[in-house]
Amino acid sequence: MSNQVDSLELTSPVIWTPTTAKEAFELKEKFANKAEFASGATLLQLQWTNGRKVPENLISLEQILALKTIQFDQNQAVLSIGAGTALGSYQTNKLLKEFPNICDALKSIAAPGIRNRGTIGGNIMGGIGDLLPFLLSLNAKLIFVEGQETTEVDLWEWLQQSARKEQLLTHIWIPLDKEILETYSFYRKVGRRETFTAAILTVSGKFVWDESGTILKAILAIGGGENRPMRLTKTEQSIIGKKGTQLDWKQIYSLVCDEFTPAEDVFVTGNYRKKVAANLIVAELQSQFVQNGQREEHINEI
Amino acid sequence: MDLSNKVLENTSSTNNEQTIALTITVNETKYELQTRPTEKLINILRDQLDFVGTKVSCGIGRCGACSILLDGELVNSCFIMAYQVNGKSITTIEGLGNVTIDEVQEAFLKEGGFQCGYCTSGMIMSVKNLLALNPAPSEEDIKEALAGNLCRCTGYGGIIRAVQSLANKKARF
Amino acid sequence: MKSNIRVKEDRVRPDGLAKVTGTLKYLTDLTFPNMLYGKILRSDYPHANILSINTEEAEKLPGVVAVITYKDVPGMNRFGIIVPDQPVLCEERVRYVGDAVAAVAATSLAIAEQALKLICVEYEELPIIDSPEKALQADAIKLHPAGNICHRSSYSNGNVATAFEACEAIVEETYELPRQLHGYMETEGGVIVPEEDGGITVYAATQHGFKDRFQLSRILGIPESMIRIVSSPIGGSFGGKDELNIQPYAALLALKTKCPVKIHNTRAESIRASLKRHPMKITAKTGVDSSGKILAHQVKIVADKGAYATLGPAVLDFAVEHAAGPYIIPNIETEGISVFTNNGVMGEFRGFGGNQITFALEGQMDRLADVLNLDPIELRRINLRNATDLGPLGHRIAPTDSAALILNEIEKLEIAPKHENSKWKRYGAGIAISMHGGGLGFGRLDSAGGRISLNKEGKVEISFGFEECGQGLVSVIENLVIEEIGCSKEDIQIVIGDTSVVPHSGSSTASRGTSIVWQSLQKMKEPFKKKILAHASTILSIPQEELYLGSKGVWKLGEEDGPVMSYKECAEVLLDGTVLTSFHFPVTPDAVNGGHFLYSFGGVKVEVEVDVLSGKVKVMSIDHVIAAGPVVSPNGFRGQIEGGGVMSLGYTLMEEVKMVDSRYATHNFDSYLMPNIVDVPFETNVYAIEELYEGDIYGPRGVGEIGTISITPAIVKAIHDAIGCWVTKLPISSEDILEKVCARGMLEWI
Repeated sequence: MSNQVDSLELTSPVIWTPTTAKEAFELKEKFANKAEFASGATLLQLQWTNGRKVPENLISLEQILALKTIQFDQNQAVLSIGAGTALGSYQTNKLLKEFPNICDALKSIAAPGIRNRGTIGGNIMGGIGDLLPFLLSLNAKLIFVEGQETTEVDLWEWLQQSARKEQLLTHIWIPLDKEILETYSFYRKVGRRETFTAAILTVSGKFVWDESGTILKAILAIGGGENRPMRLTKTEQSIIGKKGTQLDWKQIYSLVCDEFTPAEDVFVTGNYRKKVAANLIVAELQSQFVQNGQREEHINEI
Repeated sequence: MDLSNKVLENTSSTNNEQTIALTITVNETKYELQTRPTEKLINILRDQLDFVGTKVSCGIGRCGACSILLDGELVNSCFIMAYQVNGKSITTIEGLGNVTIDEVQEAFLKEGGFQCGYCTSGMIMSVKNLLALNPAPSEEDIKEALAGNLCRCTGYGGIIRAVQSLANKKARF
Repeated sequence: MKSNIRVKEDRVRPDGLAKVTGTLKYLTDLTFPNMLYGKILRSDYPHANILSINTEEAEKLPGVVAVITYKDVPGMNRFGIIVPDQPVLCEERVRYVGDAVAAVAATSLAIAEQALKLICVEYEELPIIDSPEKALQADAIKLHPAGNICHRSSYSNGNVATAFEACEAIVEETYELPRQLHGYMETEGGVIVPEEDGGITVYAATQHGFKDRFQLSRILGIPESMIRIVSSPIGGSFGGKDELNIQPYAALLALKTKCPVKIHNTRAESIRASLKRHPMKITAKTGVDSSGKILAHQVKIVADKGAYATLGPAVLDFAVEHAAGPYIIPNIETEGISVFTNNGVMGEFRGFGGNQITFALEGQMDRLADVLNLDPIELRRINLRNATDLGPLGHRIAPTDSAALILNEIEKLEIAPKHENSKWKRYGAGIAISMHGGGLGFGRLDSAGGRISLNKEGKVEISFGFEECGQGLVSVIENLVIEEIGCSKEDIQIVIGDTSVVPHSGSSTASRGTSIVWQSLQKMKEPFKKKILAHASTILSIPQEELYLGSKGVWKLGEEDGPVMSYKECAEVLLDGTVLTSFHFPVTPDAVNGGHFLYSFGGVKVEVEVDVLSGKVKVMSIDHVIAAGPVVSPNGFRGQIEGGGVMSLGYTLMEEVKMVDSRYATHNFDSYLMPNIVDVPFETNVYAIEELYEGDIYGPRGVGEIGTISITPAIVKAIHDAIGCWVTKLPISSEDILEKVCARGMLEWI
C-alpha cells in the first residue's frame, strides 16, 4: 500500500507533559526507544504522514518554560536561546530582533503558520534543518541535559558524532561577536521555489581578516534539505592565511565541488547542488574582497 | 500557556478508547470534548464542533487553507494535535466579523480577493494576523506574511490589492 | 497593479459574503444523519493483472458496512466523457496506480482506512510503459485491445516539402511540455444520499451535472430521472472535475448500504487518482522567406495520454487546430498522436492543448526572428491573420481583427527590461501572443441554453445548467441580467448546479460560459420582458409601450418615484413568466473536425531575472493584453487573467508531477510546488480590448483560458533576451540554465 496516506492512527500514543528538562529526560530514560520528544512536532507530523512510526509515548516539551527563554549570558559571553523557542519568535522577541542575521535565517524557514509552531531545537534535532549551516558558521554550541548532568558541545563536533547519546537539547549558545577585526557573514538558502520549500542547499559562512587583508579565520558551512550538514574544512584551510584580494577563485570553486557531498533526488541532482554551492561561496568572497571597479571586468558578456 | 496540564500528566485519564478530556475555547465559546490526544485540530473543529469554515486542502501544513489563530498566533490547524491545545483559545473564520463584517472581509469583497473561495478562510486569517502585527505592511511584509497561503484561482492579485487598500487606510492616519 | 478595466459599479460577487465569512458550505463540507465514510482502494502497481481480490477480512472489521468490487457494479463498469474505457472498479487489469480496485464504507474514516489495509489483492506485474516512445515500440505490450494509440489527429494544407525548399531560413526544434496538476484547493469529494425511490442525490463537484447524471445512470443501471446532481459551489476545478471521479464509488456504496456516503480525497489520494495536463513532445520545423513570411510549418505532436481516453482525443484535436495560431501559413502539415501509457491519466485542463502547441509555435517565431535579426513583433505582424481571413484549419471563423489589436497594444508596452544587469543578475523581456478557440468545436455536441422566469417569490430567476467553480460565472450572470433586463441586484435569484431544476447549458468549460449566458439573454430578454409587461399592462391598464422593467418591479415612463408594480405583485397572478432557450454554441459552417468559431486573443509581455550563480529564474513583471469582447465583470475578468497567468507561471517555472517508472515521485504540496505570493510580481497589469469587430453579434467571449497561454513562451523569450539561451523543456530547469551560463563563460572561475 505504498502510496496511501496513513494520517490516522487507531491507537494513540500516551502523552507526557513534563514541566522541567530533568523530568523530561527521566521519562526518556524510562521509556528509551519507546518514546520520542516533541515540541511543535511540525517535522514529526509530516514524517508520520509519510510512514514514520508513531511512538508509544510522546514526551511533549511544550510545558517546559525554561526551554523558551532567550537571554544574554554575560559570564559565558553568549546569546542563549532556549531550544523550545519558536522559529517565528524573531517577529516579537526584542533580543532576537537585535540580531538581524539570526532573524533572516529564521525567516527563510517554512512560512508563518509553521514558524509559530516549529522550534529551533526541533530544526536542529531533526538533523536536516536549514539552521544547521547557519549555526555552524556562528560556532554555536549545544547544551544538553544528560541524566543529572548538563553538557556543552560544539555543534560541529556534535554533528560529526557517529552515535547519538540519549540527551535532551535545552539551549543553543551563540558566542557573541567580540571580533575587533573585520568580519563578514553570509547565509543563503536556495530552493526549488523562492520561499516555503525544502532547501536544495543552504550555505553559510564567516570570515575574519586583519588590516592587511589577510584572512585569519574562515568558516564555510553547508547543508539544508537532505544534505548532510558539514563544514568545508579543506576549503576553509585554503583561504586562511591568504589575502582576500589574492584568492584563487578557480581553486576555491574546485575545492568546494570536491568537498561538498550533496544529497541527490529526482528533482535536483547532486552535481547541480555542488555547482551552486561553489558559485555562491565564490560570489560571497568576491563581494567582500574584490573592489567594485574590478568586478564588472570579470564578467564575460554574450 | 497552560502549565497545569494535569489532564495529560495523569496517564490514566487516557481511557479505554484512548481519549483525553479536552477543554478549548473557540470563537469565545468554551467546549469540553473527548478526543484522541493526537487528533488534528482541524478535524476537531470541522467534524466535532461543526466549524466547517476552516478548510482542509493538503493536510500537511503546506497550503494554509486550514489557518486559524491559536492564542492569537497564526497556525495551520492540520498540523496541531489535540493535546497541544488544551486550555487554549482558538479563533476561526466564523469568529471574525460577528456583528458587522470585518474590515479584511470587506476589502476582499471589494477588491476581488477570492474566486472559488476555498483558500479564503485561511487567507483572511493570515491577513488579519499580518495587520494586527503590522498595520501598514510593505510589499516585503505582505509577501512574508502570506507565503504560507496558497491560492490557485486569483494569482494573488486581488488579495494583494485588498491588503494594500487596508494598509493605505492605516498609513494615512 | 495597473489595469484599464473600469469598475462600473461597486458590485460584490453574489457568493462573496458567504465566501469571506466562511459560511458558504462546499459539497465536501456537508454531513447527513447516518452518514458513512467511504475510501477507495487503488492499485499497488502501475501495470498488472489482477489475479484475485479478497474482501473477507475487511468485511468482518467492526464498523465496516459494505465493501464493493467490480462484482457490485450493476450497469456498465466503465466511464469516460468521450470513450468510456476506464473501469469503475477493475476486473482483471490495472493500468495506473490510481486505478480503483475496491471501495469501503464504514462508520468512521479511521475504520474505512483500516479496512482498505485488510483487502487482499493478488497482482501479477506486467511490463511498465512509462513513455509514449516505449508504447510505440513494435513489441510493446498493448494497453488496450486496439493498441497503444488512443487517437490520431492531423491537418495539412499546401505542400510543406516543396515550400521548405524555397525557404531562406529554417528553424527546427523539439519542445517538451510537462505533466501539470490542476491543484484546485478543494479536492474531489462529496456526499451521495440514497433516496427512497431507489435513486440518489449526488452532492459532489462536477463541471457538468447532466453529463455526470448520464454516466452514473449508465453505471448504476438506473434511469437518469432517478438521479439528481447538486454540483455547486466548487473550490476550484480548471477542467479537472469535468470527468467523474469519486461519484461512482460513493453512489454504489450509498445504494448498497442505504446510507449517505461521504468520500473526500486527501491531497495525496487526489494527486494519485486525478487527471493531469497532457505532457507533449512537439517537434516543429518552420521556414520563412527572406522577408520573414512563413512559407512552411511542419509539426509533430506526441502526447502522453496515460491509461485511459477521457477527453484526450479532443485535447489533441485542439492542439492540432491551433498549430498555426493567429498566423497565416500557406503550407502546413500537423500530425498528432495521443499515446496510452501507464503514467496516470491525462485529461481536460485549462488551455486544453493550446498551452503546449502555442509554446512551440511562439518558440518557433522567436527563433526565426533571432535568425533573421528581425524584431519579434515585426515578424509576427508580417504573418498575422487579417480580420476576415480563414481560421487555422482553413475554415470560416467569426471575423476578428483582435490579433492585430493585441499585437499593437503589446508593442506600445515598454518592451525593454526596466532593471539593469548587475553582477550576478541578468534581465530580459519577452512577448508572445495567442489565439484560443471557445466552445467545443465542430462535430461536438455543444448544446447551450438558459431559462429566465419571474418566480412566485417575485424574483427574476435566472437559471443555467452551469457550475460555479470560482471562475465567477455567478457574477457574469448577475451583471448581464442587470444590464439586459434592467432589474437590480436584489431582484435576481441565480439558480445553477442542480439537475433537478436547471435547464441544459452544456458543460462549464472551454471558455463558453460567458458567451452562452450572454447569447441566452439576447434570445430570452425580449420574450421575457414582453410576458411581464403584457401582463402588467393588462392589470394596470397602462399601455405596454409606457412600461419597462427596472429595479424592484415594473416602472412607468416618466414616473421616477418607484415601480408602478412590484415584481412580487406581478408574480402573484402571473400564470406564465418563464422563457426558455436552447441553441447550439456558435460553430463554423465548414465541416472541419473540432474547428472553432469564436476565438479569444491574448498577449503577454514579461520581464525576467536570471541569477547566473544558481540558474534560477524569477518573473519581475507581467503585462497582459486581452481581446475577448466587452468586460462583463471587472473583478472577475481581471482575476481570471491574473490567475490564469500565475497558473502558467507555475507551469513554466516549477510545476511537474514527476513520475518514475509510472509511479508518482511527488505526493503533496511539499514536493509539487505551485506559485505562492512571493513568486508573483506585484507589477502585474491587465489591459482589456473590449471592441468587437464590426458586425460581431456574438457578444463577450469567455476568458477562463486565454490568460494561461502566452505567458509561457514569453518567459522563455525573456530568458533568451537575458542570457542568450533557448529553453525547450518545461518546467525550466535551473540546472539547465546554469549549464548554459557556464558554457557561455559567464562565470570566470569555471
